[in-house]
Amino acid sequence: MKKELTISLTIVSLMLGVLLALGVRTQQTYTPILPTSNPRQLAIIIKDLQDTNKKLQEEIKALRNRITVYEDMLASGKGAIQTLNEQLQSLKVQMGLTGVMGPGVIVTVNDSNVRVPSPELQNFYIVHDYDLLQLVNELKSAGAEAIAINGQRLSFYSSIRCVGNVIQVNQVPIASPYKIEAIGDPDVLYSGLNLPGGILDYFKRVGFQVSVKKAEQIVLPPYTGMTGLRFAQPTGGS
Amino acid sequence: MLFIIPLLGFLLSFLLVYFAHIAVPLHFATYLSVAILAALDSLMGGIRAGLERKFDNLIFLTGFFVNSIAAALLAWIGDFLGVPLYLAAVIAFGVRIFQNLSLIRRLVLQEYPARRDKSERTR
Repeated sequence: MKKELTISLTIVSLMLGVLLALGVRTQQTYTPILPTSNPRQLAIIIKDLQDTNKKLQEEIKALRNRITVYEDMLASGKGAIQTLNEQLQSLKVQMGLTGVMGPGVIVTVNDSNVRVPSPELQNFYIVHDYDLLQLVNELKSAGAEAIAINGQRLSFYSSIRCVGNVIQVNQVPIASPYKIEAIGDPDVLYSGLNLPGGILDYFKRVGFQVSVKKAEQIVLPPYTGMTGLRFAQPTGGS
Repeated sequence: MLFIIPLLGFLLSFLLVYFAHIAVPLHFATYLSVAILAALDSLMGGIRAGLERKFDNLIFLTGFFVNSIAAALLAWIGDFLGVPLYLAAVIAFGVRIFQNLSLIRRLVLQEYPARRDKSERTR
């Protein structure tokens, strides 16, 4: 009987050891990610960060405005500087660092309103980052000159990606319905999107609620994300 | 000897898994904690039964597995209902662990009459 007791206790002790070690490792793996696991505190932290983010973006806007003012001041100076400044301004427009306006199309995409047959398939019925990417790609290949998604202007540095369950454009989270505004030849953009077997066909097939409108006048905000090169060096020549 | 082998087994498995750097997905963390409590509870119960000389191998092992599975099931159902039902298992096991611990303490103290005699003599 004593032998049995020892064997059984050993079995359970072995298991306890395994479980405890697993538990300790699991805690160590997941705790450093977040400062707290209390959802309410996390919500407050997120809110704080969002506020800071908003403030910083306003600061960026103010600083850009100041730069423009300085550039204007420079431009009112001499001829060579003035031409340089003109070049600078036109480059800024091309880089998406200024607001622009012009004719184009407005596409709105919303998640599917088709009844989802089973919860596992739910993923197919919501708009994903790659859906928006494809749409943007289509607009670019149809000659769009400036594009913004839910007011987030796209530039060379822009990214569209999924973080958790929200899509981030320029690292800023956006939510459905997605409004993609593109400046370019409205007719070309419109027909580019409506190609048979094209992107809108696909969207409609999965049941996304899509609408495309041509617009006489679209006003797009400047790109407010990060700019500046840290690693790339010009090689000289052009 | 009775408790040294289990203790060694515990240390061995703990160190082995600890240094293997295995972590379970976060989703299963509650199940893990409940399983740890179930194992601890069974261990305490087994030690107590051993000291009381009422140990029954079958009861001990089935108790361990059935308790663990029932607790995991409870946690799983709780996940479904959005109610932290695993707390029920945590509380039940916690209470039993402390009860068994106090019984073990008493039994161990009774096993050393020499100490008692000494304390009576000094009194």
